[in-house]
Amino acid sequence: MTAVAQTSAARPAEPYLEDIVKKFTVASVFWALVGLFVGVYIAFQLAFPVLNLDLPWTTFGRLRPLHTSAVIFAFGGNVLIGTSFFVVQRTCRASLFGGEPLARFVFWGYQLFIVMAAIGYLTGVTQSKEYAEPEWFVDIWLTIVWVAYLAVFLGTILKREEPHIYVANWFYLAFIVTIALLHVGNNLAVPVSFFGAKSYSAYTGVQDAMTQWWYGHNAVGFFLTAGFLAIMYYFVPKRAERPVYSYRLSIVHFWALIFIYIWAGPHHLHYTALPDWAQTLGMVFSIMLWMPSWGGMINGIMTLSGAWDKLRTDPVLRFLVTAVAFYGMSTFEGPLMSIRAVNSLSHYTDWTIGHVHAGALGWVAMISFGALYHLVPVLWKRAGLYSMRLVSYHFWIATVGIVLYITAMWISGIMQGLMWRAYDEWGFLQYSFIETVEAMHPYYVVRALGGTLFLIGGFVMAYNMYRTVKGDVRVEKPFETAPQSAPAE
Amino acid sequence: MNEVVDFFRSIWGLWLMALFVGVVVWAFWPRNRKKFSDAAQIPLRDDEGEAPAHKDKKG
Repeated sequence: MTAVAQTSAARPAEPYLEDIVKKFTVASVFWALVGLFVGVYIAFQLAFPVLNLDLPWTTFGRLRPLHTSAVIFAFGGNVLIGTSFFVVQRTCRASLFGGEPLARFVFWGYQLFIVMAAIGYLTGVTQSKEYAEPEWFVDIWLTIVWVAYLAVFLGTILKREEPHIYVANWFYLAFIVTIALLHVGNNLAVPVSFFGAKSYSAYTGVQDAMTQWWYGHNAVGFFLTAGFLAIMYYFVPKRAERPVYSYRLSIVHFWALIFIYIWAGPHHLHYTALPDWAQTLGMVFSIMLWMPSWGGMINGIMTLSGAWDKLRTDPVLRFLVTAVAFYGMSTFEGPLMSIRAVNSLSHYTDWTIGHVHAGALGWVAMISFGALYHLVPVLWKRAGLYSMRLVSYHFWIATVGIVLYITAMWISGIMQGLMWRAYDEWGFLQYSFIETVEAMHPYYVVRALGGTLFLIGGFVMAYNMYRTVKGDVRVEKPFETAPQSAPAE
Repeated sequence: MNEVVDFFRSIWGLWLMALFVGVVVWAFWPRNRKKFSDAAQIPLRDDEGEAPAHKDKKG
């Protein structure tokens, strides 16, 4: 107990830098609304192609990478960098290495990267690698910003006053280092001219495909998983006011995830020119991922054991825990889809889109919302949020939106896959491509409505946070806190 | 030197597994129990000077 006693008394030598975390928080909410709006728009484009407007800049092909990058890198990235700056200072009891100037460079540099990438997509400047679309000069800029980010984060860990490095920081560090590696590795390219935007990849053929999905899947594994697991390991215990269920399990979770994830990429290339052994390797490692994923999910959810009533009284915690449940669901579905026989049905269909959004909306966005709801009153020194009822409304609107989205895509995707492989009695394909598109139309409409609900929830959150920052408190019936008697176990 | 590298490269699955088993043993070693349960408290004692939202001292 000596360690606890001495550390709780000690205060950091320099104050924590929180202004920078405020900037990232505002940017996160802003980019969430932009990214979700573009997503809703392209969902309606798929249902009603007239919305392409017959302009090159507004076609689905250019808006789709704008949507994916806006939600993953702009919204998700700002949440990750912002929360990492918050968490690393608190858990290390040290202010950010490099001080305000370096942190501010990371913030503005990263926003500049986002804007440069977005302009490129709309004007057709892209190297057409999925989730790595920006051209070489934007890639170089991001590399510089990312190295500065690594310096801030690692420097803060090195000057920490807390002897132990808390597990959330391990996950953040794995995210930062691996993304640097993936980004540089996948984007190696030769520019055509020094002042031109066009470049050619250093890889060709199947090597190019393999490098791309080594990058692509580990962007899922280390950006959308490891980074947000760091958020889970800090914010779930914080909000539940109890330590993580098993700290030892979190160590095993971390190393298992790190060792296994990096090999799973080839499952994106089943039935291609990639050698069979590599496909099988990717499939086997994907299935092995069930264990760390579920270990982590159980660790997160069981943190609430003995405090389940908080789910009823604290809608912010409800966001965090539902996110972990969605994490468990989509990490169950993912390995299933990586099995080659299943993949032969699911690949290139809407099932994949449904799977991705179960993870992106259910896990990534929900845990981000929970973390942001927790952060805003803490950063702006308010007693609480403007309205807990609005948080609860947001939760239900978003959840219904996700359910509409993923069920529509499951039905549409499996139907699409079955129609593609249907033969008539003479061995001809039974359906033309356009027939499958027509059959999917109603599900596209349902999906777009689900996305709209999710977007509306985002606006409810933005309003709630704006009023919180202003210092307002809504007059409303509060959620009962601390139940007087615990009726049932 | 190259032979050594080639040898270890050919049995990568084995030493990766050994490394992982080492991590598990370290994590669950009885003497490390207190160290890790202390570490788990880090996020809960980082907010001195803040208004606690709602504290029920139940443990």
